[in-house]
Amino acid sequence: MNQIDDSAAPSLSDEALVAGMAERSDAATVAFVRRYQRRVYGLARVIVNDPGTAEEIAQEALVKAWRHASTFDSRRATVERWVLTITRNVAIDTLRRRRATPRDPTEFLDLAAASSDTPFEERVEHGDTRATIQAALLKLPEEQRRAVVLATLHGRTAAEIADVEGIPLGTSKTRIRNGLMKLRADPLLERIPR
Amino acid sequence: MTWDHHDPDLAVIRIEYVLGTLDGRQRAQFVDHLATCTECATEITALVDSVDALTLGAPDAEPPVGFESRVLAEISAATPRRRVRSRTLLFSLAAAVIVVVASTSLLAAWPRSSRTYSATVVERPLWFHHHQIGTVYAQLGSSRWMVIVSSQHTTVRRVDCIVVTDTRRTVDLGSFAYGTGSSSWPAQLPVAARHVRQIRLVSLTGVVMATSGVSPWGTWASS
Repeated sequence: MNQIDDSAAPSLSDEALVAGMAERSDAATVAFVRRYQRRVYGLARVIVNDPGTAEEIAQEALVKAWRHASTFDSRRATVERWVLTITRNVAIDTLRRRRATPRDPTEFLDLAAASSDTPFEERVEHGDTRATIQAALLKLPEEQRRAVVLATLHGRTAAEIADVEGIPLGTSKTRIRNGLMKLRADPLLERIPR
Repeated sequence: MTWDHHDPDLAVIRIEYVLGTLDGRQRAQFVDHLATCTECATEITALVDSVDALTLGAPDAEPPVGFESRVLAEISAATPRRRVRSRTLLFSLAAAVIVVVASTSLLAAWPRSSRTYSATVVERPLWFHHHQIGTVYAQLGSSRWMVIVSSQHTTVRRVDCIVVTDTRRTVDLGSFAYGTGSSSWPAQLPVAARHVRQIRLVSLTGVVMATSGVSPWGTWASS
């Protein structure tokens, strides 16, 4: 089944591309992979240190998105969130399965900050999603920021974070908890499309 | 167990629930609490949103040369099997309609033991705390369709339908309206029906609302 024209696919909405993938349209699949490969590989690169492992994670995530396109529900998340959540889950599974080396959590913000020439504040003002996430994270004390990134993006447990950071388990739990509670309450995150 | 919503410990428990760091007993108690607490369910959804949002903060990065070709080659290698299925799509849709009609007419007949309506259509009950609250209808053979009919009055308004395959793989088929009495919906299975081990209906906060028996469909057909 291939009802989407090759030339039309790149201009289709994310949701239309996923619907096309669910119907196994070749044109929709190619357009989807082209549109999201940099986002997916970029997320994999901030989670794992090794570029080869990041490539494997990105490839597995895109194939999973294609395989499960029919289960995508636009009422629950945007396509971007959906495919990046798949990527994060694949990355966390890979880190646990292979004991791969995670990237330093502070590099997440360094890489994100370096990804644009436009001043940071201007990007936040104009509703740039990445800059908004960075701004919300930068409001946290550094130790909470590291704990939150390790817990959420790297899938580390409180005990593992305590080990990595050289702190007591109770302190690790407190940092994750306080960081996430502040993020949850941050009005900046209300601006992010769901 | 119930919690006072002014109790600061509750905020801690919600976060640890989202991160999966509650111990088994605490998790069971909180899941029980979540089934009836819309305030906590809303808060859990918001926390999951906050965690998911962090993935959006990652910068783009240019993948290595040949990455796109390798992804498309892997997808292409998996495509022929899917195309075989697409050729039978019309047949499957027609079969699903027949199953819906059959299941609806039999809705009032609960609880009953398993039956076989034809050579391929089989059914198994859906259970919640030892009470039958619905039925799953499916076709054996190459068809990958099933229909779920349920009748449960609950405050849970949407459920995820989770399929557990005979290789213990779990696949989320998406969410469906629920809890206002009788409801039914068709869904496409990720594997042939005979490879489905169990169907679970799970609330969006993780509470298991119903499960089918743990058994291969092949066994169900002959029961």
